[in-house]
Amino acid sequence: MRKVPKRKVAIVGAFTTPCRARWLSKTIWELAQWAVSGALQDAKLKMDRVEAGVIGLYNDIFARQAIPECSFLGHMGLAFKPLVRVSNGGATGIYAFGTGFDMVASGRHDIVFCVGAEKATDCYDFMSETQTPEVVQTIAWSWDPLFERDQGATAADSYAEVILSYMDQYPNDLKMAVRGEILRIMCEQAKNNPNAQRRDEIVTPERVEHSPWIIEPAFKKLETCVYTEGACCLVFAAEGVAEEICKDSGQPPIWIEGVGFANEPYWWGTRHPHKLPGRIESDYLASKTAYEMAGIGPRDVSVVELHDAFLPQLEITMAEMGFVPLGHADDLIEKKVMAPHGKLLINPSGGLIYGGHFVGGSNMFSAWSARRELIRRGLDYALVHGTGASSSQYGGAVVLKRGVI
Amino acid sequence: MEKVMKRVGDYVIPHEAIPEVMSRISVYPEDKSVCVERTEPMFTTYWASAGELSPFFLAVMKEKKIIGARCPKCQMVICPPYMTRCPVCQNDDYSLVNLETGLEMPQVGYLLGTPPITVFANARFARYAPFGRGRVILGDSQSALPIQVFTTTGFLKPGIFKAGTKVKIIFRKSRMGFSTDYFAVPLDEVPEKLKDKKGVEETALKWKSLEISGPQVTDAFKKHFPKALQAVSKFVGAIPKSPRAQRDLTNWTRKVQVSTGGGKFGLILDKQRIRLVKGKVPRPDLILVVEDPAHLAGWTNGDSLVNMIRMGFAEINNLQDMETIFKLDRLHRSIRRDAEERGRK
Repeated sequence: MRKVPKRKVAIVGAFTTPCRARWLSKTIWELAQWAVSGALQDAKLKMDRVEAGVIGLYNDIFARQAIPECSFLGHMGLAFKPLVRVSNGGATGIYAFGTGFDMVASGRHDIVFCVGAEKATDCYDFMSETQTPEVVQTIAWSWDPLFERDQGATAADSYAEVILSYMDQYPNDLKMAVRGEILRIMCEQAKNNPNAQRRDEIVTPERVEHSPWIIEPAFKKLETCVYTEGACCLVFAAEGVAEEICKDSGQPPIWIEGVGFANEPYWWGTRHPHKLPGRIESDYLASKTAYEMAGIGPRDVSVVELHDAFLPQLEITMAEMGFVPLGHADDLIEKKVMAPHGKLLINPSGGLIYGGHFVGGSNMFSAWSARRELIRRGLDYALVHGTGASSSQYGGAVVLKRGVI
Repeated sequence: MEKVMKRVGDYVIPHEAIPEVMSRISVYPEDKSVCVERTEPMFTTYWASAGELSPFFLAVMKEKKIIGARCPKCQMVICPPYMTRCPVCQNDDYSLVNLETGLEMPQVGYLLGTPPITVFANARFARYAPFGRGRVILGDSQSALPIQVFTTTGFLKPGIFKAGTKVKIIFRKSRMGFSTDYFAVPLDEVPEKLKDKKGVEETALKWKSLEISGPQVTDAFKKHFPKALQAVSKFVGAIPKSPRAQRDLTNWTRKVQVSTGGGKFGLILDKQRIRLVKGKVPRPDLILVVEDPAHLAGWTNGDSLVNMIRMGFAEINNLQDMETIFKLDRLHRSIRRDAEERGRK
């Protein structure tokens, strides 16, 4: 049976800070405050009308503070009101989005903001004199301490395992030439995103081919997402209130038509209830739920903003979400599905690889971009996706629909 | 309480990873803000208990056994025994079903999927690199045991382990209750007489040394060497014009001896620059062997030294210093991006 929320919810305002490898001149508080302020200005909404907030903060080590959310409330003008922190691995942003949606759809609040912020690259490895090993190490703390962490599990190899096991099953898919072309397109698209981190970069399939393997043959350096510092805020409003806000702001409401989530188990195995090799079932289940709630299918979607932690995972996720068949993810290019070869816009923001990946808010950044494209191009439906945790266990998907003022 | 086991001199946080109390004043290039940066810690140390999972680690430590668990109701077998009750089967009283624990598993199994190989290890794991981390199915287990995978044949290259590869569990000589007390090697690398034996320790296998050999000197390589040297000289000469490349080399000091089949030279990394010196470098920190000098010319055009090492075209004498190789690999892109930016201006 199709599940529908108690009442409709729309995005009525959104703002994202520029994405940077490091915001030396800003703390995470400032980034979050900047995003909230920008989103309220976008919605032409006064803070006193906001009833509650959700904040996506990926992990305490990046924030250099345990329970870091406690220090944000006052900065954001939400003193004496509820603020919920969401932390769900790489999928923190999409889960924070879902929590904000629930707070409004349930009838508990009329207007809620949802902010995600990240400062990752204060982490520094004094042995290699670079940030990366310490950032990677911080993410690696997410592996279980008994069985996997001591074996050297890293963020990259968690996705690599998923990709390699997909390649075990479909050895003729995920061809490097296709991956290079998708990267070229996304890199080009990032130039149209004023907040993208890698706007000035030129990536060609040849450059992808020459870049070093991070994990062979799973992915190369130019196929990996970047570490980003930044913040994004979305303002959600209930039907009845949303239209009034949008009339004032002059921007159409973006209705949240479908929301779906699913998490796979931590332990891998040969059958359920374990995570299966070669699949990202969480993406399949999350998108299926979101489509059903929205009453649409992948054919109705014009824009996908997808959590591309690594390029081959983007292809697998597109297959899991029904845009191409599993085992034929290369159809994205070979069968001209992806724009500009085809009609479907995939990661017009540049995605997390070229746009930026500030984990606590990346999926909100994706929603910000999807909203922007729906309005700018006059399109109807967008799909926003988030994934995360070791072995890309967590999946979330949201269907957005452009409304009218 | 039994006696404490120690790896003497091996700290949970490597000493060299801990900075002194420091601060510095930095200018953010984008908006020229003057910022104070300080070194800060955020750490906790533990005597962490393995709790109800302790029997698994004790069986490894004391008996060189791998144990699993089985649900008496649905017969699901799991290894490792990561839980003691079956979440699938609920009793009539809605409680979880207790698993039968202590089930001894076979020590030969197969890999569930192709394992990733980590070359870019961080400080905690550099001494193991390159290492693979896979999942092995033992006996009737439905779940896979996470495990490090090694080859006895030298550098761990892709292709040695694949989905379905038969592997044998090998135990470390010194076992202290960590998941690194055991690892897997391909079964076909295990001597026939040990294949069926349980509790095989690492010392029972013959391990090929990772020591590097000198390059093969040929006339063809000698002929190509001057051109490669010229390319490297031009390449490192571009670093002073590239702020990104200089950042890549910040605080990094190394004397690298590069040996090819056509000749030798040194790369002296210091003060955010690289100085090229001809011939032999006294007491190098790192030796890089690239037999064919043409590969070095390729490096100056964006080819990756990491890829060359992995494909067997290059070798280094200290795998724990891969960071230097990563830094050398970053330079081409940094120089190119700065040149592209200058071009746009």
